[in-house]
Amino acid sequence: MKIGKVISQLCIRIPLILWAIIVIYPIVWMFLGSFKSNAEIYASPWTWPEVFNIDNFILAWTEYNIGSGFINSAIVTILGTALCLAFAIPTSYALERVRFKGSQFLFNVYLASMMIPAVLGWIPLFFLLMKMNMLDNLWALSLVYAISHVPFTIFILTSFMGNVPKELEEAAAIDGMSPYGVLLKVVTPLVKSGIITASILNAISFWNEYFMALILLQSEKKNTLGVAMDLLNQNAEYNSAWGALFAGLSIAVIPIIIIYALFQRHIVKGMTEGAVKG
Amino acid sequence: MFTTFLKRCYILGLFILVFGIITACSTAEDGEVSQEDKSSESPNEENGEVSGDFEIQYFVGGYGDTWWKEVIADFKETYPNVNVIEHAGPNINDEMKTRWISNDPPDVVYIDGDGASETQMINDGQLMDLSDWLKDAETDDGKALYDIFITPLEEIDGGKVYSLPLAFDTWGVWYDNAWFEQEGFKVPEDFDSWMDSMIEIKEKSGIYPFNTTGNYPQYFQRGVLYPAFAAAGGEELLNDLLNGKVEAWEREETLEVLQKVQKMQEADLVDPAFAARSHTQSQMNFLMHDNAFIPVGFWLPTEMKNDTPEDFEYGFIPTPMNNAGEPMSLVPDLRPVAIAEEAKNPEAAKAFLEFIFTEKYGQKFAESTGAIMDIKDVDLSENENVPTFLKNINDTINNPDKVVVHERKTPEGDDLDISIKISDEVKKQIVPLLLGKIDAEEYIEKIIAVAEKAQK
Amino acid sequence: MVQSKKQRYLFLAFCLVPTFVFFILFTVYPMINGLYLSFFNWSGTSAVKEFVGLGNYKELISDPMIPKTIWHDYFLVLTKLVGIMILATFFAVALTQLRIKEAPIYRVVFFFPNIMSVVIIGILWQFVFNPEIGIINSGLTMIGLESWTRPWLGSLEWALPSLVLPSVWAGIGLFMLLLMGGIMNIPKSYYEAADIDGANSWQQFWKVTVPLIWPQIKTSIIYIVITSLNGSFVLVQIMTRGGPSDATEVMGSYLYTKAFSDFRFGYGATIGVLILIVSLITVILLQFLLKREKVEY
Repeated sequence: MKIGKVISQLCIRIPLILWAIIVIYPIVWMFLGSFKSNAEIYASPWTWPEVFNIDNFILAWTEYNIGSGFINSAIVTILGTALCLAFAIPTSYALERVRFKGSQFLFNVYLASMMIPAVLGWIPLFFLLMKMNMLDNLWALSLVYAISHVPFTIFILTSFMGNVPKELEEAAAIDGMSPYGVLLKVVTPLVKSGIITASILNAISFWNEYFMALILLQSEKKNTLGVAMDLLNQNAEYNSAWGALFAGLSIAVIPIIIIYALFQRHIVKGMTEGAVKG
Repeated sequence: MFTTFLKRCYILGLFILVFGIITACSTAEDGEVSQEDKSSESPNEENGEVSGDFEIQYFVGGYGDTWWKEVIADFKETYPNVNVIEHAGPNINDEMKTRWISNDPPDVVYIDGDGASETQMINDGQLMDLSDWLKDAETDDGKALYDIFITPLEEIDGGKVYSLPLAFDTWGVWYDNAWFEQEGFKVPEDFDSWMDSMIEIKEKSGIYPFNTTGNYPQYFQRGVLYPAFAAAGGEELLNDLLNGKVEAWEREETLEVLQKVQKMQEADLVDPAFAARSHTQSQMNFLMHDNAFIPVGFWLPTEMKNDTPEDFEYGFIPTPMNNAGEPMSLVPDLRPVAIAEEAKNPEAAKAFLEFIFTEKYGQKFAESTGAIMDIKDVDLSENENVPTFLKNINDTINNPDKVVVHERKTPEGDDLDISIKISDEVKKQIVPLLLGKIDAEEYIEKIIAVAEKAQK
Repeated sequence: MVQSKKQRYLFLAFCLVPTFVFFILFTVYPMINGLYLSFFNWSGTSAVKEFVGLGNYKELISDPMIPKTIWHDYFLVLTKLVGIMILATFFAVALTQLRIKEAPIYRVVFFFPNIMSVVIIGILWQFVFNPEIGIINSGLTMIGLESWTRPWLGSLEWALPSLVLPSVWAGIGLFMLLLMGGIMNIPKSYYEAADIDGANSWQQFWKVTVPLIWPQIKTSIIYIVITSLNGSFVLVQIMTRGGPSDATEVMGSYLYTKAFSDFRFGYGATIGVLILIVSLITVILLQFLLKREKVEY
C-alpha cells in the first residue's frame, strides 16, 4: 500500500516537475544569454557566462527605448483597464438589472461582437483615427483597447450582477438612494471579484497586445513594449546582437516577475474565485 | 468613500475623453491651417535660402548609418537654418508606413530594405517627378546632376524621373579567400566548376558548402536566380520571367537554370537547416566555416564586421550559374533616394540631394558602407580606407569578357501587379526546391499557374 | 423602485449611451467599413479605390492558399485545445486534490507565462528552436537523441507543429486556474459519497469532477477556440512570418501579408470577412457539440 502510494505520488510529480522545468528553463536561459558574448551563445546553451558582463544590458537600455516602451505599456494597460470598467459597469447593470425593452437584444449585440475578429476592423480603424487626428496617441490606443474588451467585460459582469440579491437594491432605494448611488455604492462593491477577474484578463491582453499598437502608434517614443521588443528583435537580426536581444528581453521580463511576485496571491485568487462565480 | 471616488472618476473620465476628442479634432483643423500658412509664405523660393524643418527617412541595414550621420551633420553645418529630423532604423519602413498613408510623408526618403517598394510608391503617386528640376540641377561640386550616374536614370511614363539611385549594389557569392588558399579549394568561374568545388569541399571538410537564409528567400532569389536567368537568356529573359510571361517560363533555358539548383540540392550541398535561419544567422555560420559559399550583396563585410574572425578574408564572385565559356552575370541592385510628392520642404530636399551626390561623399560611401555610390568619376584606387575586396570587385565588374551587367527594369502598369504575384511565388517555392520537396519542373509549373491566373 | 419615467430614462441613458456610442465608433463602424472595403481594389496608400464588386471574393475562392491557411488555423486550434485542456485539467486536479505540499509553487510557475508579452514569448521561442544555439536541439543531443534534432522552424513538416508548444506554454496557466476554481467549489461531501460507493480516483474524476466543472471546461474551450482563430497569427507573425515557404501561413498572417506587404487592402479585408465567417461557424458548431455532450448528474 505504502509503496503504491509512493509510486503514484511520483507519477504525479514527474509531469509537474517536467512542466515546471519547461516553463522555467527558457527564461533562465534567456537571462544567462543576456550576459554572454556571441561566441559564448554559439558555444553552448547550458554553460554559465564566463564573466557577468552587463554591456548587453546597457546597449539594450540606451539604444532601444525599452524603458519608455515599458512605461507606455503600463499607461495603456492601466488606462485601458480603467476605461473598460467605466464603460462596462453601468451598461452591465442596466442590462442585467434595469430591464427595459431591447435589453436582451442589446446584450446579444455585444455578445455577438465578441466573435468578430479584430483584424477585420484594423484597416478602417486606422483611417478613422487618422481622420480624428488621433494616431500615435496613447490615449486613443487605450480607448480602442477598452472598447475592444467592453463586450467581454459586460459578459463577465452581468453574470456576477445576476447573483446580487435584489433585496439589497430595494432596501437602498427605499432609504432614498438614487439609482446612481445604488449602482456605485451597492452593486459595484458586491461584484468586486467579478471586476477583479475581468480586469486581470483585460490587463493581460492589453499588456500583450502588439498589432494594434504597431499599426496605431507611429513614433518611437510612443511605442509600447511589444513594439519596442519587435524592433529590438529586428535590430538584433541586422547586427547579430543576440546578447543585447536577450538582455532586452530580460529587462522587459524582470519588472513583470517583480509585480507578479508581489501580487500573485491576488491574481491567482481573483482568477480562481472569478471562475467559481462566473 | 471608495464608490464616490469611482463615480467621480467615471464622470471625470468621460469628460476628459469628450474634451480630448474635441480638442484633438480642433487641433487637427489648426494643423491644416498652419500648414497652409507655411506654404503660402514660402520664403524659400524668393531668396534661395533654405530653411525650416526637413524630414528624412532612411533604412539602416547592412550598410550601417555612419555615412548618413556624417552627411547629415555636414549638411546641417552648411545649411544652419534647416532643422533636420531623422527617421531611421531597420524597421523604419513599417514605422513610417502610416505617415505615408496619412499623406504626411517625410521630405526625402531612401528606399531600401524590407517593406519598401519604389514601384509601389511610384504607382501610388507618392514620389515627386524630378525631371524638370534635373534639367538644370547641379551637384555642389558643380556637375550636372542628370549625367552623373553610372546607370542611366530610369525614365517612366515618357520621361518622368521619380528617384535617383544612391547605392550601386550587387549580389554575388562570397567565400573566405584565406581559407580557400590554405586548403587549396578552387574559386569557381562557372556552374560546373562551382559544383566541382563544392563537392571537393564537402568531401574534404564534411560541411555543407552552400548556405543561404530561408527566412528571407529573396536572398536566393536576388543572389542566385536573377543572375542565373540573366546569364542564361540576358536581360530580356530576366525581365520577361519576372513580369510573368508564360512563354518565358516555358523556355528551355529557364528549366536548365532551375535544374542546376536541383542538382545542387540532389548532391546534398545545401545546408539542410538553411530554412530556419535569418540572414545574419546564416552569415554567422558562413563566418564560422560551417559553410563555404553564401549569396549576399556588397554589404556583407560591413554587416558582419563585429563577428568576422581575424584571419578571415572576404572574397566575392558574381554568382557562377553560367555555363562554361560564357560570361557571368551581375544584376545590380540600385537603392534610390526620392523626394515625396507631398514634401513640405521640397527646397531643402532638393538642396540635400545636390549636396550628397558629390565625389567627396562618394568616397565616404565606399569607405563606410563597403558598397559603391552610383556616381561616375569616383576613383577608389587611391583611397586607403576603402576595403580591398571592393577594389577587386571594381576590377572584376569592369572586365566585360568575364562579367556582363544586366538590369532588372521597373515594371509598369499591369505588369506591376503581376510581377508582385510572380515574385511572391518565386520566393515561396525556393524553400521547397532547395529542400528537395519539389523538382525544377514542378517549380516552373507552380509559377506558370500563378502567371496564367494573374494574366486574366 | 420609485422613480419618475424621466429619471429612469436619464439613468438608462447615463448607463448605456456613452458606452454604446464608442462601441459603434470603434467596433461596429470599422467592421462594416471592412466589409465595404472588401468590394474594392485598393493599395491602401493611393487616393483611388477601384470598385470590383465580388471580384475579391471570386479570387478568394480560387486562391490555393486559402484552404491551406484554414487548415493550418484549425491544426493550431485543435492541437492547442487538446494540449491545453489535457494538461490544464491534469494540473488542476493534481494541485487541488492530491495533497501536494509544494502545490502553490507549481501554480505560481505555471501561470507566469500568461503575463509575458506574446512578442517576448515569440522571440524567446524562436531562439529555443534555433538549430545552432537553441536549447531543444542541444538538449536532445545531450540525452542521446541526436537523430531527433532538426531545424524545427526551418522544416516544412515541423514548423507548424513547433508552434504548438509555445502556444500551450503561454496559455495553460489561465485555464488551469479557471478549472481549479471550479474544482475547489465542489463540496467535499460529493467525494465522500463516492468513496463510500467504492469509486476509485479515476471514476471519481469522471463521475464527479468533470460533470461539476463542465461549465468551466466549456467556457475554456470556447475561449481558446475564439482567441486562437482570431489571434494565433500574432505568434506566427513573430516566429516564422508564415514561412518557411508557406508552411505556417494562417488566415491572419496571410491577411497581414496581403494588406501590408503586397499593398492589397481590399483583398486583405476580404480575408478578414473569411476569418469572421470561419470563426462564427466554428463557434456555432462548438456550442451545439458541447451542449450535446453535456453529462447529466
